[in-house]
Amino acid sequence: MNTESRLLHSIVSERLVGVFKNFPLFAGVPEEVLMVFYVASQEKIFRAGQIVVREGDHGEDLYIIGGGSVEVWTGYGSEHPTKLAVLPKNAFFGEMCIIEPTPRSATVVAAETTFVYTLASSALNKVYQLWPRQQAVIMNNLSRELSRRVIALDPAYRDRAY
Amino acid sequence: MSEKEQKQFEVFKKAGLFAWMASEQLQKLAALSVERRYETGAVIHEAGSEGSEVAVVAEGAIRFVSGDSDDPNAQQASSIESGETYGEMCLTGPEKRTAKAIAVLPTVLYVLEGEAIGRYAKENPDPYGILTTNLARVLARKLRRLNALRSGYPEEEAIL
Repeated sequence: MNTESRLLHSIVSERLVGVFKNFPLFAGVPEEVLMVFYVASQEKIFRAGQIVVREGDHGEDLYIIGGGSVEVWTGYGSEHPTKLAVLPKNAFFGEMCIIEPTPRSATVVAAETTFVYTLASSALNKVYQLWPRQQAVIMNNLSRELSRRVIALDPAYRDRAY
Repeated sequence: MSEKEQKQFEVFKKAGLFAWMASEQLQKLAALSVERRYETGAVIHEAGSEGSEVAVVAEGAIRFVSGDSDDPNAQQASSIESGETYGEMCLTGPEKRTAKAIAVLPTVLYVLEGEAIGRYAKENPDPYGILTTNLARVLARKLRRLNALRSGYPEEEAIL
């Protein structure tokens, strides 16, 4: 490890490094690129029941769950809410913002004390400018995860995925 | 460009999966595709079969059916027509097809086989980055649509 890397590692928390290194979206991404994400990322903590993102809001951040878990809802707070998923540690959400600008499609609520790392879409765009080939690596990883989520859905809905 | 390559290019240009690719790169990719023809009623693939190809419909239409197609109560999944693609999920690796595909009209497909895509990715890494971003967009939109349907939103409101 060179001097720069050693200095950076001394500043960035070990917890953050551990989460990002194991994060499936960044599989195959070299250390020098991950450093940009380490520096750009912000840690946030939510109590059980706190809303992390709200359906319909404009969103620019991808969220990585560093600890705890969240519930994903549509129609949260309405007469007919639907719980779509429970996401555990190392899962992510808000990925649509790194693909195209669009309102949040669901409300995400902390199921317990939860800390998340946020990554702005602008940080990813900077990485793509500096290391264009990493765009294919990250998008391939993202597609693999999205593909897994589509296939995991109930067959009544999954078979309409075309 | 030959007449055949021109036709392939024009069809690929219509598909969202290949949006924003430079013309020269799209021509290169389209030229790697293989043409396949199916008569009305022909089974293109069975549910559960393994697939590693992406197909673009050049002519005709395909219906995707889950369950036994001889069963009148079989659920009709959806249909796609000229300019639309299917099998995008196979770009991330071989996958089992989740529905049976049947040609509902005389149909022509331009098929990108997994090996051809792998070669293209190796030789053209930057345009391949655009393709993978488009793929993520297609899959994310599908997921949002499926989640909207699960939430009970009407079909016409579940476009995204």
